[in-house]
Amino acid sequence: MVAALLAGGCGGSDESEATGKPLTIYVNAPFSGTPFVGETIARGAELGAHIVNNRGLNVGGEAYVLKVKRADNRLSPQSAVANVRRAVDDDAVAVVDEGTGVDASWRIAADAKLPVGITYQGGIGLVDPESRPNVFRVAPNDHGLAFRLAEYIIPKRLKIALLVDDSGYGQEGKKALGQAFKGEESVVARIDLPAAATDVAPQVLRARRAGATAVLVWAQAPVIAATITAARSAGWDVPIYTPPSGADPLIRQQLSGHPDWLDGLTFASGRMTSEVGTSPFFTFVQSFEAAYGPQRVGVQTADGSDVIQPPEYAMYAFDFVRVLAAAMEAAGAVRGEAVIRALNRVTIAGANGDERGFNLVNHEGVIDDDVYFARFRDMTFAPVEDDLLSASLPNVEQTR
Amino acid sequence: MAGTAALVQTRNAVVEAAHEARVGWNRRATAAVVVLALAALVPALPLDVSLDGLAADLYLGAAAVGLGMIVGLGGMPSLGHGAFVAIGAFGTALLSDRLDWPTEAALVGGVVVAAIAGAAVGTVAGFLRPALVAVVSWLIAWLVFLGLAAFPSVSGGSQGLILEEGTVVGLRLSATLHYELGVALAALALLVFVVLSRSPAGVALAAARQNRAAAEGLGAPVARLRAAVFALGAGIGGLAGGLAVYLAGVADAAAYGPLLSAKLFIAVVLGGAVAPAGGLVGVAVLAALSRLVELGGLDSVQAARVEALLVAVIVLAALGTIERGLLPSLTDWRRRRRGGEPREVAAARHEPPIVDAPASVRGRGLTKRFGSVTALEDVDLDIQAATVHALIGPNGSGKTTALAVLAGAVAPDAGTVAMSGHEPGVVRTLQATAVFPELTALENALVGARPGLGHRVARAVLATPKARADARAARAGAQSALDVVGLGAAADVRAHELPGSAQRRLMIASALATRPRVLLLDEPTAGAGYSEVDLLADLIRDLRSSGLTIVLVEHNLRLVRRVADRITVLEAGRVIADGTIDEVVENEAVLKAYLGGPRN
Amino acid sequence: MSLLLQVLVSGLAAGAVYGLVAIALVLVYRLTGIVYFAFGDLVGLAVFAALLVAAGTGPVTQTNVGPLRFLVAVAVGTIICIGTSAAAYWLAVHPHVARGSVVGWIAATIAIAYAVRTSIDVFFTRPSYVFPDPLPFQDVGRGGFVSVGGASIQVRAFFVIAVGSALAVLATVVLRRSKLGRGLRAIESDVEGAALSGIPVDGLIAAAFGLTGGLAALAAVVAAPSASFGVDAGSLLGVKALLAAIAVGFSSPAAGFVAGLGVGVVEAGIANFHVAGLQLGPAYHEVLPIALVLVFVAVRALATQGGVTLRET
Repeated sequence: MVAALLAGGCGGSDESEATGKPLTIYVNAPFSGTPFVGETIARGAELGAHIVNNRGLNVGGEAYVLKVKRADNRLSPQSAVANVRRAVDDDAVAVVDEGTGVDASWRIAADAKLPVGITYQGGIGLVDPESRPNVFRVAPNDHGLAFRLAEYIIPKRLKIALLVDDSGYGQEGKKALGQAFKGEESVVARIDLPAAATDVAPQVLRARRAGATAVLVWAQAPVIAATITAARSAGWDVPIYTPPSGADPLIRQQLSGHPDWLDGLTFASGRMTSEVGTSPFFTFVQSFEAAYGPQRVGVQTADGSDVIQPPEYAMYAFDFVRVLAAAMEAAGAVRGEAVIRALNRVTIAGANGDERGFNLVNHEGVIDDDVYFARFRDMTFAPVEDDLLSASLPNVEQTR
Repeated sequence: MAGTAALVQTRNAVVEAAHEARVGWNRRATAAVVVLALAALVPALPLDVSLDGLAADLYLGAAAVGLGMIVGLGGMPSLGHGAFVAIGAFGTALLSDRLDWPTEAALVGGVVVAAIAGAAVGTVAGFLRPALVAVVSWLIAWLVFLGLAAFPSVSGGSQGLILEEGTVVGLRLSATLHYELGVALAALALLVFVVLSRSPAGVALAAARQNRAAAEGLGAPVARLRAAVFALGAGIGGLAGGLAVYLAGVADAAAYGPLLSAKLFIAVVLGGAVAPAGGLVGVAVLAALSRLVELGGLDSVQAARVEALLVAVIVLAALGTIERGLLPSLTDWRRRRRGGEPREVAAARHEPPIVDAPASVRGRGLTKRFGSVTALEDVDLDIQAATVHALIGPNGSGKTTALAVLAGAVAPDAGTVAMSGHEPGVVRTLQATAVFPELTALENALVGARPGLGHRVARAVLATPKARADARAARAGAQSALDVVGLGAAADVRAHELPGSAQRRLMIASALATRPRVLLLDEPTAGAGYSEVDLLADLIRDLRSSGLTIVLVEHNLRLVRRVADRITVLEAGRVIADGTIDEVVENEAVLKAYLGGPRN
Repeated sequence: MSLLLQVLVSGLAAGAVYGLVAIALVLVYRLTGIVYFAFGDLVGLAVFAALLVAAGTGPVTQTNVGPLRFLVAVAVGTIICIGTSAAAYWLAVHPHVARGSVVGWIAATIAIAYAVRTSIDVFFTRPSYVFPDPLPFQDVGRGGFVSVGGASIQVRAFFVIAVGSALAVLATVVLRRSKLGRGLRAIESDVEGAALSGIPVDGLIAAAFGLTGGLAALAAVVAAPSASFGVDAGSLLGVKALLAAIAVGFSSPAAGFVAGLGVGVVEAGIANFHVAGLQLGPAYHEVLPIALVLVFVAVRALATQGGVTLRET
């Protein structure tokens, strides 16, 4: 079981308590451009390393200490590839990757028997256990999200408008949705939104004119906020479904004056809790907030409590580092083919309380069955009742 | 038989080139070769360097040298060089990935597309002011970036276009080979820059940078030259982009944004746009700066973000303090230590060459208005062959406009200008000293060397035998023009170091180097001292004896008396008198309007 | 029809902001001959400086900043923008202009733009932020939207268009009538003559920089609340304003404003162009206007063989 109670805070990657030979884990993520994403992943990885180091990492009789190093990928595959090359030169033991450029960089890592853990992007095709044996993912993938969304929405017999934006995120989502909603008659409109748009009222109007009774918008947070604004302000109270970007605090910040517009917004994401209850995730959140402080959204619920955002994506990097440590211990080696093979065998208790691990045919740490739906009410979200998996999950506390 | 002849010819040409190279060899060339050899040997040394990082920097440096050509030689501040690197990169990537072209062919394809794009942009840029060139090229950088991002089918979307590892002439493109190719490309780019800047085309471009109107007046095809140098720089950028994309293994839109263009431009300005190695030095400085700031000990969460800001601030400070760029500042400092005073360079004049077919010029009914101002009103001019014809009149009487119309620089609203004979050959000097201050006297005269002679950029760069022969002939012509005005000994002196009287004669020499049949002089005695006027008069008379037709606009009546065969007097755009000096001086109207008072 | 109206209004609203920045660009160009590439980023700076004052780096929502505090923040943001603009000009650009080094000031303004952009990055790590609306537009109509002819239009958009046009008219009037304007026009036509006749050239130019910096900041305040503002929105704004300015050849501030409106409308039109199943789509909406303007500039330059655009000595 994971016992993650810390005596004090841990800030940064400086591990002065534990001793042992240093092993470097590279975090290949954006630290400029959208530093928030990179920071979230890096913090999750650091927290995971901290836990492992505190417990003590003992491989083949030797003591080791995990160190996390940040490498900025500037959201450019070329930079990401250069970073992986540096990681190889630096004798790193793993790369925790945001996902940019994996199509180009995985081979370089594979040649050096370096495991790559994607903890953010969900694009299909990034992970393929057969051809890319060293690439793993702990994050909701687009395929799973899209199919679960289809599985959830279609039986409601609604007329669906699929809206995507023209960012990379939106276009990858478009591919996944294309597969999941293939030939589906209940899709009445497929519309592209400009990612930088401030006003998508025309496109929303087109969706409405096409007769849609549900809107699925796969886009980044600003566009989702604009879509909700456009629909609700025109008096269109249609249910809106989104991928994990719907949980982004920005949407609640933009719509802080209209909590009622937000009610009913439903998003799909990886589950943060499990049947065992909320305590594993709660423990994780406590350690995270002790180290980095809570993520305040800036809005209040109706009774005036502050809303905070649970660190969901940090959890994925956190879990991957711990799986890696477990694999090293099981393999009796810190790098090489043995570790990659061990990664296909070990499982740990994930921060959400459920088992986290991979196997020979599946390198996705968050499988379809781990995707749940949550609905907003009063500026906070809770698992929906009309989906089997979601209904079984307890809620995560979001107020202080 | 023909084959052997061709072989013998080639062998002779090579021997000749080798001989010329040996003659022109100097310390700088030796130093360059040594540096090149050392650079090439780096992979063999037991240094812990990342060869692919160095290779990437070298490719960037080569692209910067290409930009340096456009900015430094062409005088066009292009903020869009990253777009050409992108075009080369994606052209190569698409040809390799979609059409399965072999590496060499894909690279050539990328270069060709980039060069064509460069020629197109350069053609337009040749007609724009530098500030507007900057705006247009900046917009092009954004256009290419946004376009690539908006069309993932072309750019491979957020994961980019993956490339198979390339092979060049059967060799796998490893990190080491990339490094050597980087050294070779940078060296080649430098060589091209140096060769071009020394050729007549390069001198014409240098002149145009300082005074475009004067250079065009001397017949330099400035717009065409600029377009050609743009294409050249763009092609080099495209080659660098193509090679770099094989190194990275992936082509993605995010890597070729406006930031790349801005970085290249700042690198060129930092290192010095006019210095061939300026771009390389600038890239090296920027890379070193980033590395330094990284190591600076800011190993915290904020580090990456503050880093970028620090680099930007340091760059701004550097730009402000280093005046013309690092390398030129170094050269200036060295030159200042040697000291410089205006050099007295009097020398005997040579006989001017004889003009074959002296030309007469006739203007009939010339009229020109600028808005509400009538500069010329129905003016007739009869200029006889091999004579000196003076145009005099008060300020604003239209003398300079008349000269511009005769030269063909300004089209009259009405009237015709006809010159006897079929060949062109009118050249005029501009009012006020219009020499090119940074060029040497010889280079000043070289600008005018018969238009078309050696002005073809491509041939100059390739240093074909014809180009070299043309260059020699042009230099000889320029030297003899200097000899005619008595500045033969001052060939290597920079124009701004010459005294004013010499500069005035230099202006005439530049005009003479174009081998004109008609010479238009606009106030050649402006600022001249008493005795200098006499010397100028002697020069003008000699030029007339050689068969040159000369039209002279002058205020200084002493000169006019001594040289003019005929005089036309203009007032408020109209001819009020025309004839020999004696006839004109008698004319009542002239006396009243202009000469007024006692004769001098 | 309603779709057309919707496109027109949102296009004009976006275009009004482009136009205001274009006015600043044209004015500075006509006075000093320099293209102040950093203007767009300075607008971004004003927005984020105001945000920083209003809420630190904590989360900002549409409703969690009190109006008084917000006004102070806006004032501080505007002052920072004006100050940075003038200081940057004086310290980093003026030396190059004085020396007559064109590449010098180009490199300097580009470097300033980059420095401003990275300084925003230091404090703001997310891709977009919410800019609270100080004015009670939310209360008008349905959450700030009114239905006009079947189209749902943001009331705010009309406000932006109105303010933008008013500022444009004000700028033109000031240039034509006021003493400042007369001084600036004298400098524009003959710098040496103006200096000789006692006009404080440097001071007036600095004032023009500051004034236009303030205009840009105002533009930001006016437009930013419409939706979340991205960290790189300032840079993009600068590019579109530049597009508008060069489309009219930097001829006059008023023309620049109108061109800015045009760019906004064309963009909105292309993004929503949907005729009989043929959709140009959002991919083209930023790229096509740039391409069109560049073609236009090229054709004009080639046709006049330089002519108007050249005018070099």
